Parts: sequence; C-alpha cells; structure tokens
Amino acid sequence: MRFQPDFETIPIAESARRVFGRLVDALIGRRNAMRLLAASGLGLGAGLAPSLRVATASEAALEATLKAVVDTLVPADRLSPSAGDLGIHLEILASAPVGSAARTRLDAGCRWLDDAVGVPFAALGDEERAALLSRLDGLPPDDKSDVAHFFRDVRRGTMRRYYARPEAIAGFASFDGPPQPVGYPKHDRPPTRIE
Amino acid sequence: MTGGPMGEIDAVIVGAGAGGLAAAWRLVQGGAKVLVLEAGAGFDPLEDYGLDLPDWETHGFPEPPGSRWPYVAISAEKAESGAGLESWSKVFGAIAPGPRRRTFGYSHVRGVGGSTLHFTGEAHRMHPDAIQMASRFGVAADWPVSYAELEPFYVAAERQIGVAGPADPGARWRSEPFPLPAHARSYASQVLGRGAAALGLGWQENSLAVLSAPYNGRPPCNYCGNCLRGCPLGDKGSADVAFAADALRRGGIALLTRCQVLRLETGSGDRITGVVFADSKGAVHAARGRTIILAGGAIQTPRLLLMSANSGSPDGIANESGQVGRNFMETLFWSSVGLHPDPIGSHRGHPSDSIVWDFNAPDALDGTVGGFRISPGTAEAGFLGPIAYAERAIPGGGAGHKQAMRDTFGRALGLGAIGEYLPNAQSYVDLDTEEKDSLGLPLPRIRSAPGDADIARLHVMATTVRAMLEASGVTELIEEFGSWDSISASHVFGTCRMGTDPDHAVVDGHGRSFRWKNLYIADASVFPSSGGGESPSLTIQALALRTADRVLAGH
Repeated sequence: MRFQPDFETIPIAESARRVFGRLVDALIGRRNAMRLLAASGLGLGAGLAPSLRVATASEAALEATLKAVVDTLVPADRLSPSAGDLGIHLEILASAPVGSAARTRLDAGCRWLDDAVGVPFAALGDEERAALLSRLDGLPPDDKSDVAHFFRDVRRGTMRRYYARPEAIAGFASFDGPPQPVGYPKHDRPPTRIE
Repeated sequence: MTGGPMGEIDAVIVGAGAGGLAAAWRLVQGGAKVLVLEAGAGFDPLEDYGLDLPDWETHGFPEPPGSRWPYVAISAEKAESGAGLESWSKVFGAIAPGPRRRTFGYSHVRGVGGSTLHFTGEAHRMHPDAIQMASRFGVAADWPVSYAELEPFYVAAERQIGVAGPADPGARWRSEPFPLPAHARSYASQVLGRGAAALGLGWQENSLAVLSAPYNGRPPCNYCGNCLRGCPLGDKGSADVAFAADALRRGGIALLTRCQVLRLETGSGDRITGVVFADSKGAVHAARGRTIILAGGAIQTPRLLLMSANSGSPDGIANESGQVGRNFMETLFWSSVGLHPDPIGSHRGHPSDSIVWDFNAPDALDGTVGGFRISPGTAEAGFLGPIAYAERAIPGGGAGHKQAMRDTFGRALGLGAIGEYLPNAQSYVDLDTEEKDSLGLPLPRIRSAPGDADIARLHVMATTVRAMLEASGVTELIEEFGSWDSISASHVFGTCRMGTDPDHAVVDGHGRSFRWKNLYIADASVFPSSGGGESPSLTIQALALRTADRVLAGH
C-alpha cells in the first residue's frame, strides 16, 4: 500500500511534494522531510520504490492514532466532550473490519500520520496535530490520493457520528435533538440558544 | 385471478402512487371493486421514518431493498451556454465536472404512496396558460382538458387531502376556498420574504398537502421540517394517508404489495384482458379486470407498455402513435444556499411554506417561453441538522470548527427554483437492450438533454435566486446545484402524452388509450407540458379522479 501511484517518471523530491503537497513544504521542512521520506522508504534519488508497503499498524497503535485524529478534529471544550471521549474512533474502527479495504486505508493513513514527522501522531502537541491535519484538509477536493481519501473518510465519519450524539449539540440555537416527536412549534419566531 | 372474495374485478390499477391511489379511492367511492398491484411494499410511518432517533440525520427517506426501481440513465453532454450555471460546493469544489451532465438520479419511491411519501407536500394547480403551450406559444403540446374542466377535480382532491392554502388564488381561480388556512411562515421564510419584497416580488403562502389544523382525524403539522424523510405524524397528505386509508376503510379494494406487473394481456375487440404479475416470491399470476389503469409514473408506465409488445402490437401497447416513451420532461431546477449573518433557525418550519409565482406564467420571461417559480430550498438542500453543517458548510476541524458549528447552525438559507422543461427529440425513455431487472425484464433507459430555451430559462432562474438571497441578507454562498450539469429529477412527465389527435398522443383527455378502449393511464406520463414549476401530485390526482369518473360512467 502506498498513497500515490505516480512516482515512476519524476524525481523523488518532486514526487514527494506532489504526494504530500504543502504538507511537506511548509509544515515539515527539509529536515523532517528527510525523515518522512526515509520512513516511507523513499530515499532521495531512489526513484520508484516498487517494494514500498505500509505494514498494518498494531491494533493499539491504530486506536491511539485514530483517537488522536478524531480528538483533533473535534476537541473537548466547556460545553461538550471530544469525539474520542464519545468513542467515535472505536465506532469508525468497528465500521472497518480487519481485512476490508476501509481498514487497509485506515491502517495506511494512520501509519502515514505516525511517520510524517518521525513522532507518533498521538504524541504530538495539539498545534502540531492540528497543523498536520489542516494540511491534509487543504488538499484539493478532487485529490484522489489515498491520503486525501483517508482524511476525507475519517473527517466525514467523525462528523457524522459525533453530531448524531446528544452530547454534541450543547450550545446550538433552537436545536436540542431529533426533530420528532416535538417538532418546532415556535418555528415562526427567532431562534433561541440552548445551553 | 378473476375475482375470488372480491368477485368480478372492475378495475385493475398498476401502481399505488399519487394517481393510482386517487383513482382507486374514487372508484371505490363509486361502488367499483378494485385491485391495486404495487411493486413495492408499504411503509410504517412510526417505525420506518426514524425522525425521533439520534442518528436521524444520517438517513434520508428509507431505502429498504426493492423500494427503488432500477433504471439506466444516459447522461448528455452539457450545453455550451452554461457559464455561471456550474454546480459547486464550498467544501467539495465542483460537483459535476467533466463534459457530460452528472446523473444524481430519478428520485422516486416504489411503495404504497409512491413518491408522495418523500415529497414536501406542495399541492399546486397548473397555471391555466401553462396547459395551452402549443396554441398559445407554439411549443410542447396542448392539454386536451381545460382548467375549467379540471377545477372540480382539483377541489375534490384538495378536500380529501386537506390542502392548506392562501386566500388569494392568484392566476388559479377557485370555485371554493382551500379546505384549511395557510400555514404560518417559518422565521427563515420571513427573512426570505424581506428579500422578495426588496426585489418587488410576491412571496405568497404556498398551498400544501400538509394540515394546518386537525382534519379528518389527522393531526396538524408540528413543523419539524423533514417531510423529505417521511412524515411520521400523518399530517402530510401523502397518497397512502390521504387516499389509501379511506379507500381501504370503505372496502371493495384489494391492495397487493410486492407484486410487479410483467405485461399487459390483449384480447379481441381492442381490449386489454388483464395483467400478468409476479409476487414477492416470483410466482406468476394473472389478474383480469374490466378496466386497466396504469399509474406507474413517467418511467415505468411507458416501460410496461413497451415491454408488452406482441404480434398485434409490435411497437408496444398503446403505441400506435409512436409516442410512448417520447417527450420526456425532467425537473429543471436551480438551488443556491448561503449563510445568513444572523441566527434564523432555518432548520425549522415547513420546507416550502412560501412561493414566488411572479415568473410562473409561460410568457413571464422576456425572450423565453415557459415560466418558473421560487420557493425556500434549505431543506431540499439538506441543511436540517448539524451533520450537514459539519460536512458541507464549515470546513476543517478543531476548536474553531466546533464553535463555528454553534455559531453557524441554523443560518444556512437556501432558495430554489423549478421551471418549465420543454419536450425535445433528445429526451425520451426506451428499453435498455442489455440491462435487465431481477425478473429478467429490460430496464427503462432515460435520456434527457435540456434545450437552449431551458438553459436560457435556467440562467434567469439562477440570477433571480441569487439576487433574492442577497436581498435577504445572505452574504456568502456555500453551495449551488442546477440542471445544466446535473440530472436530479423528482418531477418527470410526458412519456405517454395525452391529446386529441391519435397520431400524436397516447391517450385522450380522460387518460384513455385511443385504441384500447378499457386501458387508461393516471400518472404524470400523460402531461403534455411540465408547467412552470408547479409540483405535479395534485394535478395527477385531479386527472386520476376525472379518469375514475369516466370509468364509473361506463365508457
């Protein structure tokens, strides 16, 4: 498994920039880019690395990384818990059985995050995690690379699960849960915030 | 099956949607014995719609196996004059890139109630001028029935449903008021009304098959906003609630679900003797009736007629004119969604409680024949719960995203327009030569390509919608979606056109085949023109009641 299929004809440094976009360029910097490339098996000047494979992360490491991802996407604050507090990462894992394409993508994406700066993602500080994910979020919407798919899938899975939980919606205006059975009898008046 | 406990069957109705159930109700009222064959199942509103569950927003209208028809859609190339009509999203970018229109599908439900199960409940009469498009404007075809002839049947359907509407009928004169008063407008619709006023547009209460007060034992709407996901209360007058329940109470009707009609059987004297259908276990049966009424909609009705070709009708039943499947008309639509700077709680209220009719008349636009209407589009765009905001309105994540969710929720404001779609030679339904359904029958194949006049109209629709949103205070658009590059059809028409000339139409003004004297059609396939954005269910039902009266009269 690798994240980008088109390494064949372009120099590795350029290909790395294409693969990881501004992520490598701005976030990681040259030193970390070296570590990233080394971790990914793509040494400078190595060209295509046909034997590149991302090993399946151990279940515990995978869970820890994924929890850090969902917590970064939806952290706790004074009104509501984080996505990890609600076990959203476990729901995502449960939705991707071992051996499925979805699990393979999760494995590879988390491994990529763990390897990106040479420190496991879960061990990074909040700002570093956020910066790393924001770079993935900045990939173009039509980016079809695996890492882009991974991020979109996890973000979507996190948001869909988190905001389906009653604990998530504290502080929303005129919304405190499913639309039935009460409906919105005061629909013709300005909304009021529910704390 | 020729009788059994029911005795001799007066009418076999194929399809339990808007038209089929309205016809069945009227026939039963008139003492007829009716067999309704529905390919889908029934839905249990309290069990199936799930609007009281925490994960309600992750589901649309339920889609259990067999609740949608399979079909093939051939996407056409985009018209050249579409600059400014691209579908796009702030989060996802271009929605339909590439040279061809993207197919989002023919939105429908196969089940008791048909597509009224997931409609918002708009109950519109046709504009009187929009049914005379050929004689008045030289396009499409005239309806062989006048507004005055339809009006009593509109009244009957509205009474049975409990339609709520405004006192002012506008261009659609009425012989009596709506059964119920119009609904109070949502706060978000009041905001849109300020935009309409700023542009000098009328912003009238919409006429809705949704109860504004208790009616015939049904409760009023509680404005949850999720009609598109199915109404668990029964205040929405979907065909199962408004017509089937009463017909079943009266008796004289058998409604068989999961029974797909395979073909029509013909006999001597230009009569249809019955239908052959398969039940849920695949067992094949025959049902005979004095009258056969097809009500499968503008895709399945022509499919069934074409599939029933035999040596005496090699081009299909009732296709002597060659018009079965032709003249397909899809839904010409435009939708823009933006964010309003103020909290307006736009997830609340009926999804389409107001409407601009100013452009609805066929001659309302300069240089383009055919009209359109404008109505709220927030619910149609799906901004009814936090997940939609998280996915489509607010990019990224983190603490800022979380707070933005609280600050932004309820501020999405959508506005949509639906317009006339003129029939053209490139838009039609036929049988696919390769793709089959689970019973081995050919799938219907839909081809649709809006013409130059439709694209010109779409430009006006988009421009007007954007202007009205801006005038309503919207400062940032986040999503737009339209027919130039996307097919997403919920209202489809025209494939068994009615008319007065057997050489150019499939059925007459009562929905009866010109050749087959006991074969009728009671669905939107008979519409010779689409109208200027009117939702079709009420007109389908009015026509079906008129057809039923003709059957009862023994013609």
